Amino acid sequence: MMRRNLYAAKLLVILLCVLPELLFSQAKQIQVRGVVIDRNTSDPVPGVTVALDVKPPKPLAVTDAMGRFTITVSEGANLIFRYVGYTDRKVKLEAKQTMINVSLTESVSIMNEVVIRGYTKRTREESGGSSYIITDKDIKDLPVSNVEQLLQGKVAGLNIQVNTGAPGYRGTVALRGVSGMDISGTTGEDAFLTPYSPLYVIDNIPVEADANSDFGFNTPGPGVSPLSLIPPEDIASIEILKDVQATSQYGSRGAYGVILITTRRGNSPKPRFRYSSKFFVNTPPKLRETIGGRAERLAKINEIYAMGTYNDRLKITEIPMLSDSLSSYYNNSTDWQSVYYGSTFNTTHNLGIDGGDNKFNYKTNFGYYKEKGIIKNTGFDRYSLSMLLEYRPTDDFWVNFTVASGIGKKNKGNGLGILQTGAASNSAASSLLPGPSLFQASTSVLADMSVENNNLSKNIRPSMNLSYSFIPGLRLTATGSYDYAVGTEETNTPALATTDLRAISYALNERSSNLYGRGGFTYAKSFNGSDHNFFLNTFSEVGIKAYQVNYSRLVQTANDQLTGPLGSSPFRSRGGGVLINPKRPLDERSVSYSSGFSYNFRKKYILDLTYRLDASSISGFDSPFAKNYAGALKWNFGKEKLFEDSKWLSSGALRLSSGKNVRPTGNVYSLYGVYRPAGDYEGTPIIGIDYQTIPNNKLKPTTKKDLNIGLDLSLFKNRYQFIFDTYRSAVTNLQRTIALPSTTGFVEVLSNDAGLINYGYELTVIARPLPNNSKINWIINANAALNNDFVTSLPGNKNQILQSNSIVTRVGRNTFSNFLLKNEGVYRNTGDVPIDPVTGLPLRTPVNATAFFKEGDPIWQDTNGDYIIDDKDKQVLGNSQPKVTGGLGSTIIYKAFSFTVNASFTLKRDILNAALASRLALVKDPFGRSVYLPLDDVNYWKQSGDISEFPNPFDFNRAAAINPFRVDQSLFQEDGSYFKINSVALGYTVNKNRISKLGLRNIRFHISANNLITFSPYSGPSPENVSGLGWDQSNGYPVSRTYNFGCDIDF
Amino acid sequence: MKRSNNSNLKILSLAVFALSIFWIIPGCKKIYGVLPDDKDFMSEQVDFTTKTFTPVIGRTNLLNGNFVADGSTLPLTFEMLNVRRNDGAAAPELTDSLPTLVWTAAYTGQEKSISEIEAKRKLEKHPVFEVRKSGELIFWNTSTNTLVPYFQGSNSAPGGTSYYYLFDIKVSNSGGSKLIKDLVLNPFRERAYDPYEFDPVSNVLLPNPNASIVPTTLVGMKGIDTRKQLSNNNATNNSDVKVTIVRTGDGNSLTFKFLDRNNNSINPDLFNQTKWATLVHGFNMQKTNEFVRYDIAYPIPLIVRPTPYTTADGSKALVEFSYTRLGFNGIRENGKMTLNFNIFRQGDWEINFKFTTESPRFEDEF
Repeated sequence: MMRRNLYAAKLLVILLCVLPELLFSQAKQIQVRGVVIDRNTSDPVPGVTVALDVKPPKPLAVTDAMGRFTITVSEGANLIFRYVGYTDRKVKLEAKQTMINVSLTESVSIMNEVVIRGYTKRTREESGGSSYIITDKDIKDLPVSNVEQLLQGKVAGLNIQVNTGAPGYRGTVALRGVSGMDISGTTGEDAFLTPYSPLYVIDNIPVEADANSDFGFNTPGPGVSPLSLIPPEDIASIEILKDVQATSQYGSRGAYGVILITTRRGNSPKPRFRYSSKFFVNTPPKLRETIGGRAERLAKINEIYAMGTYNDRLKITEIPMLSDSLSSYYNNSTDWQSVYYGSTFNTTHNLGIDGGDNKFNYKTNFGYYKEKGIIKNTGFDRYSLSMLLEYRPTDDFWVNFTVASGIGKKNKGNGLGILQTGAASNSAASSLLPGPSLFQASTSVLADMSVENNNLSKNIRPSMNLSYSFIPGLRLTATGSYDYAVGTEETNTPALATTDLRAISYALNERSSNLYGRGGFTYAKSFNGSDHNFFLNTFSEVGIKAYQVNYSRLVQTANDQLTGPLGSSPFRSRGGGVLINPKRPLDERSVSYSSGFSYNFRKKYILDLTYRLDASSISGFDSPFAKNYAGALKWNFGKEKLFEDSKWLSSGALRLSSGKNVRPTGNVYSLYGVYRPAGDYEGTPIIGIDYQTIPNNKLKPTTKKDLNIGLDLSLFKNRYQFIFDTYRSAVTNLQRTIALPSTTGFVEVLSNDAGLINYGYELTVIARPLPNNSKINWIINANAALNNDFVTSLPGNKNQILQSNSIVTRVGRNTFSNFLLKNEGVYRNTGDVPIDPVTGLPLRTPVNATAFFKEGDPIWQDTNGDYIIDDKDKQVLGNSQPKVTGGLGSTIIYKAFSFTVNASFTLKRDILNAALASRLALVKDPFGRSVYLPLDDVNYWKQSGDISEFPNPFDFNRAAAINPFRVDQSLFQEDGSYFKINSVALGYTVNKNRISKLGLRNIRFHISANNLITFSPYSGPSPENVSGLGWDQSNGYPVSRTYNFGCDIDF
Repeated sequence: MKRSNNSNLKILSLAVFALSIFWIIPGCKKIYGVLPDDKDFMSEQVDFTTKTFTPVIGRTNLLNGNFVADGSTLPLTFEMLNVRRNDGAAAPELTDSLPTLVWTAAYTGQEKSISEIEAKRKLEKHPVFEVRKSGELIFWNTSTNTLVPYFQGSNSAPGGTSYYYLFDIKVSNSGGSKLIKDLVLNPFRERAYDPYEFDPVSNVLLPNPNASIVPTTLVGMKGIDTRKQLSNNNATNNSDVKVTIVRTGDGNSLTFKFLDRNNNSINPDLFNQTKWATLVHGFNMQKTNEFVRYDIAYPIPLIVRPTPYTTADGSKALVEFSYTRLGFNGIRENGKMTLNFNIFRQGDWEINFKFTTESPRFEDEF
């Protein structure tokens, strides 16, 4: 025992000797210096708190304006660096370390994002509703004419199809499936989906993106959307509001989703100049292979000999193009595609000036964009100017003025913008014809080349915002803006380019204006510290909208050079006046009241309620107000005690939202009727009603009921974030036209009995696989959305309506199903054709009584058994809307280099390959003036007994009767799924130290390519360049590939 | 205490969390309420626009009732029910199956023998009156005046009127069905050949000028005695040529005879331009100096399809007899006579052309 005691005493002594040593070493202080920089931009970060990592952290110093700090700590201390907006960084000092450089990563927790609800900024943490934010980093380095193209594949549920390469035109945008069943046009290739684009709010002012555009073909006029006039370099962030709770305070117009665009603000004490320029080349996609010159002539002659009658062979002698091989006029091999399509060199420049401090700041942005389209004589120019001035004398009061303006010039050539039919049909002209010249017989080519089309869209949007707070928590706001847009179009066709040698002069003038005002207040109050928080956001909106289009068309002007001023003439005028079709003049006044109430308990449990009343002068007296309401619940379970110290869960929330959005349909004409002069009665002119549509003042507004459940998860210190939504929205009372019996005297009535449902899932994953302190910063962004649409009812209790000759809407199925003849192959021998046992006649088409099928013709299923193949044999096959859409993006930043890849995909969609059908049908007229395209890659029927996929294309005498390559058959319906590499960009930032001697702050170079490759099982030219109803538009505008080099200079 | 509270809370939170995931992930259709099924649509307004059908007995009639589907999903199934006389008695003569000739291969007009033609059709059992998949009604040529007694003008009902038939059609698809009631079948009595010189209803000889059948065209013939132009002056029943179509037996043949006003035969060879081999689609041609006979398949023409033996639309057979001679001064004269006709009933038929005023002048002048 004694020994043990002695042993213990020795130990104690040793410990006692050592302990002070330890204490001493703990107490040994050294001076440490360092710099804190931002990991992405390498900019120094001022104001960072440097603290000892103990509980609670003991602050030691704050970094200065250059990010430097000096502290005195013991050797090997643990430090923590903290700054708002950045993730905390813990560093353990090495022994004897006196210099340290720390890089901080921006905090990317979705919880801390600033979102906008009802024109007011909130944090995502304290508001329900589903929305997604895209920052300027996601949309840089790519030159596009319309910023929507850059959003493709970046937001789950936002389906953007860039289905036209026409410069300055928008593709199709749809959020969460189709919202209605209207289409315009009757035949397949003319049918277009009526656009239901989201509401755009630019800097808190609602703007109609469709105002002057729709599709260029549908609306005469410049067709430049206000969105195309915003330069992407001026955009700071875009927020997409998806569910009813987020969009409820924006009213009925927000039923199809709301996209908020915020432009850059001034934010630096010294004036800052940001200059960015891009030089890019557009190249046309792979063009069709054609046969030219002598080969074409021989191919046509061989076809006539093989399949023609004796008379056809005699007819060859009457066609000099075929028979006179020495003719100097026809002896050519003109490459028409190169006449029309070619690569172009384009440029865009943008200069932004901003500066100021909290009390006064300003911003100006000048933009210039010039793009020539890959089809000759088309293009888009944009000049934009925007300014912002903000004055904030005290924290309680600020006022700002903004002016946004832009001029867009579109050159449409001779085509109708997106439908370049002239280019398509003329580039399919025979190669034997001579190239374009003023004396050529084909006036349409001449027209395409020499038509002068000037159109200008001008838009100016001044606005003013006031905000005043005189009671703590209460803030009054007022906003006013006036949006004025003017579009002019002039087209002058020289006389030689017209069919009857009379020059045509066409002028159009459209104006739209929107006077908008909003006033309201927000009130925030907390009780018991921050246990109970209330927030009320109430405002009222007033708007006056006006729109009108006038046009005039004259023929036979004095000469080609005299293009104005011109008057009118009863003989030379070919129409004019105020346009009432398809866009009617508009004079609308609207008033709305909106109120949003939010309560949260310790920011853990959140309740949101909103209510909005919309009234408009174009809805009838019976139901003038549309009442929209929505509610949301949110549980930030990441804040629960259970997960407080969780190592893996950084934040998490569960959301539920539900609401109703009411949208008045109809307009003043459908409520009260259209009246026209109707002759006279006893010498007095009278007005009578137009008997097309009977007025219906009992029209109900379209109602949309939404339910959205969402889950937001942020794991492993915000390195992995998941946003998952599932939704269901039911639309009822969609407006449709019903035909009336002739005994009523009217042709049709508008009714409200159609309804559909969209339901689906969306998932977004943002991952940063590499740890925070790694040298490489790698962000992966992936999203996918699955959407099902489903028709629930149709007017008149019908369950199927034919929308065009190949599109059907049927209850119990998706909204737009293809209605096609079912193709089952090709008849091998004439004996295989079915015979009607009663009449003894073979299967035929209704074109004439002897249009019988024979070997080489397609086998179509005679569904109704009458031995005639007509529209009664069509079946419902296929869905033309995509089921799954999504995108993938990856950004890697390493030191001064950054590398970004963006891809998007669309899955499960049935599209009709009209391009292949027209290629095969081109050989049906060997006597005509069209080109011949080689068919070696196509498996078509050649002789008796052949088993083949495609019918005989060379039986030209019977082509009109049988129409074997009609597009509305299942032979041409293909899967239009695709995976597209949207863009690849590589950037390099020059070392800041080197350039600061020149007085420059930042120089960055980048090269990028847009629309690189598309992978798809589709056999046509492009699975994306299809109309909204899935019809491949071979006469449309192809989407070009772009190669770009640019540089950004800040000083 | 605190610990157990914590663990309780922990369990509760986990439970709610797990439950919420279960709620989110399936998200299947059923949660969202009952959605309508994708089934066919049967409109209440489907109907036949034509309500009365008048086929001719002895021919195969494909009747189109102008069916209106009013948006119902095609294809529809049709069923004929309750075929009855208009006094309510059943009509089994229409519903009993009889062996009927139906086509199995296409008749093109280029067959080289009767057996080749007969190979293209076969016998199948069909009721005389039925509806087929497309909604068309078929009244087969197996019907005869005795088999189907209630035709127009049969005077079979009391009071001297005629009975007729009524029937119902049931139209259905997977979305429902509708019964279209009381459609009328009022057939005409048999007219075995066309042109027919008797009234379709009363079977009484038509008054002049239709009382006799005349050639369709008659040009360029001069009378043998008076050298007057012969004509088929239809309007005044003063045709110089009268045609009779007579059934002489039960076989399958067609004979052409030319008679002068005293019923003596004219030698068919005198019509020296006539293409006898391709006159009708007949075989084993027998030509004597009194008649020309062919073995032929009935009905004539077999189907409504243009062939070298028919008119341009294929609905009637066309025969042309012609000759050429030198008239006065060496002017060539071509005489031509054509007849468009149909013969529906199978048998041995004779078509006689009787020159009632005078025979044509066949030989050259001097």
